[in-house]
Amino acid sequence: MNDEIIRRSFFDEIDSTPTASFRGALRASLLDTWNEPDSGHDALSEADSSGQRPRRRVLLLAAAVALIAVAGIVVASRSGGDGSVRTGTVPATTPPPPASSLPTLPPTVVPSTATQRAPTTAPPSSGPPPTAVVPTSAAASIEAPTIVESNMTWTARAVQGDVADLPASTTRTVFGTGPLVLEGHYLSEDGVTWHRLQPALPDMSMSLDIRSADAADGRVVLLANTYDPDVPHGEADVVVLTSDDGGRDWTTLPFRSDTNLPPEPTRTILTIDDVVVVTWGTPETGRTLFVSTAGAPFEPVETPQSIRHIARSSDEFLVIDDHMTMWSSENGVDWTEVGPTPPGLENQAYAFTFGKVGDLYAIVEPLCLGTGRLSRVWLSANGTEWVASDLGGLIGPDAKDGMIYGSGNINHYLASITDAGITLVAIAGSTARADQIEHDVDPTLAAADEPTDTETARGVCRYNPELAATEVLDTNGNVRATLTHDPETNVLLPPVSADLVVLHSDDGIRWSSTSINELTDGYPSYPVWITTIAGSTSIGLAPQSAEGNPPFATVTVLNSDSPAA
Amino acid sequence: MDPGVRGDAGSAARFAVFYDAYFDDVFRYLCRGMLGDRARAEDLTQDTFAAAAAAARAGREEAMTVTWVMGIARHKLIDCYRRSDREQRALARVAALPMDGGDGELVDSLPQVIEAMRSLRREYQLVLVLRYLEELSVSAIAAHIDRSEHATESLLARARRALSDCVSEATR
Repeated sequence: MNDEIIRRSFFDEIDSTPTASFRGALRASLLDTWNEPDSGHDALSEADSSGQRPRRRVLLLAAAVALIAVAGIVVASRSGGDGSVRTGTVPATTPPPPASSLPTLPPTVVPSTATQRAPTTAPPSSGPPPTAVVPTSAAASIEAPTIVESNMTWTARAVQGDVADLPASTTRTVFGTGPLVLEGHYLSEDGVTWHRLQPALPDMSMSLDIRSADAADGRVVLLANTYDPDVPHGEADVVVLTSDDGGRDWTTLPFRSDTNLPPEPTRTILTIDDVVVVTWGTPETGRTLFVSTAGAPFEPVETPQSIRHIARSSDEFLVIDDHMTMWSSENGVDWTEVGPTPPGLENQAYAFTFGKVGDLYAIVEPLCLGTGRLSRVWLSANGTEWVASDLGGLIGPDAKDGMIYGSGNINHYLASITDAGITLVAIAGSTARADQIEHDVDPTLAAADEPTDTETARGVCRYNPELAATEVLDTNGNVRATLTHDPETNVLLPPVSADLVVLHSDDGIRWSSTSINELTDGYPSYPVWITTIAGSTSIGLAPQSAEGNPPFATVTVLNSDSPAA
Repeated sequence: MDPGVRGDAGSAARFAVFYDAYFDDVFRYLCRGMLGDRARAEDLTQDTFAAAAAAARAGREEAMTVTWVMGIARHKLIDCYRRSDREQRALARVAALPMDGGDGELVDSLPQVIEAMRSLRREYQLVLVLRYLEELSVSAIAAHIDRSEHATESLLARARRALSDCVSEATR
């Protein structure tokens, strides 16, 4: 019996598509339970004030890519015949800061073959922008990016090594900004060749549940719960496992038992050289940094506190605290305050990628469908004054509209920020899916009452986290319809068969766009990771189908053959 | 931390977003793990998300992460197999399966493979699920089923042989 046949039989022969009725019924049941008066927690407000569960569905699902900009509504649309991209920004409600207040950005080298195209202005919207997060600080400004031709050559390759397919449904938990650690059980130095990790504890009766991982310079670190098999779901301890030989031999360092911390918080582990940094805690209690150097026991860091986000470059740890202040440290022990992050990020519902490009601090802010934030890249030379590039106009040349890759559930690992530059994957939306039917996308969304199929509203949309629903706005910013996540109104499905493009910038200012579809012959796929190692960027692409994403998939890897100049 | 969810764990709205994002993954995993038994998969999915909701309401942020909820799903799956195995044994419904035998010829009929797997005893099904659906290592499987690594390797070998024999029998 061939192992591959056994494994394939699970995926090819079992219809595992859930029914919409079960999904909806369970959802309603769980939320009803949650909303019981004695629950003591905030209730989920139904989107329909009549008290009935909304039964609207998207008619045309001209879906959902409504980009409500920080400073207005940015429209990126495909022109009729010349294939050029039209972009424009409604003037911001706050004037741009004087030039003297902008961070000084280093000069950049444009490839000799590059051609620059100045973005053109699209017609402004006919009404005031809907409610959106609007930065008010003069320390931030927004600029249109300069478009250049790509100086990167990409090669598509199949995943190799001792694993044929990767667990694509869990690639949301790819760790690492350099070498990749997938679910703590697969390691790759380049995104192409993967090896299975076999982390183990001296006490073999204990099982491991890996919660975070990182890899750098031949070292792999894992943060794992240990479980005692004699206690159902019994967490015994949290340990850090370290391997300096690619995962063959492991040393363990107790973490929770040494630090006397409560179980089940949010936790992240990162490493540079022989320094290991762990964040530990909950949003309620605040997350604390713990540091171990050269295998010594973990010690808490007093400043900064209340850690919200953490990242690292090749030689520096970066954190953002709950006050949205960025800090940096080379040894994990001594931290220097960098400065405040750009305004509005505190309302960003989703995690974002941040790091350094040379001496510049960079933040890539994802766009989530309907969340009311336009995706942009922020740069700062001093950590205090920030300049953003709006990327909506870079999704071309065949896009009618575009957004940085994301739907209802953004994958925040889909940006790479290193000394080699910034690389992103974006959707040049052309189709979206509803009820197993693909529809053309346009920047508006139409909703209709299900019984009559009568259109009730059309306009741009925003996400309302209080309702967990998408609202369709008219040109005056008034809510015309509220679409919940009922199966019948699932507007947050990611587009399929959309044009995926790689956006790359050496400096955060000059950007190039490359069609992934052309590199992969148009095979439907979605990105699962981006990482840059030694100047070469690797992008993992898993297949996508109308039936959903397979749990395991043969991942195609795009590798840039040469480092960015 | 999962990319999709962040912040206060006591939010019904956030739980709804989390549910919408990961319901399909959990159900598909459990349905495949139960070899296509949709009724059991629905039961286990309900149990899994009920546990996640309870933990999230209790303020446990990690309850709204895919690793946590998939870990719960795995526990539910294993518990289900263990219960079923005990029931099977008690009812003496399990026919004796060959303990030895060759690997047989390569089989390329996936429907027969999955059908044969459904006919295996529960403990064989469980190790095959953990090995080939979950892609767990032998040591990880051993930890989950409370056996030594050596015993797990032996059990896995017997399960594969039993599966091969069942498929061969069906194709004759």
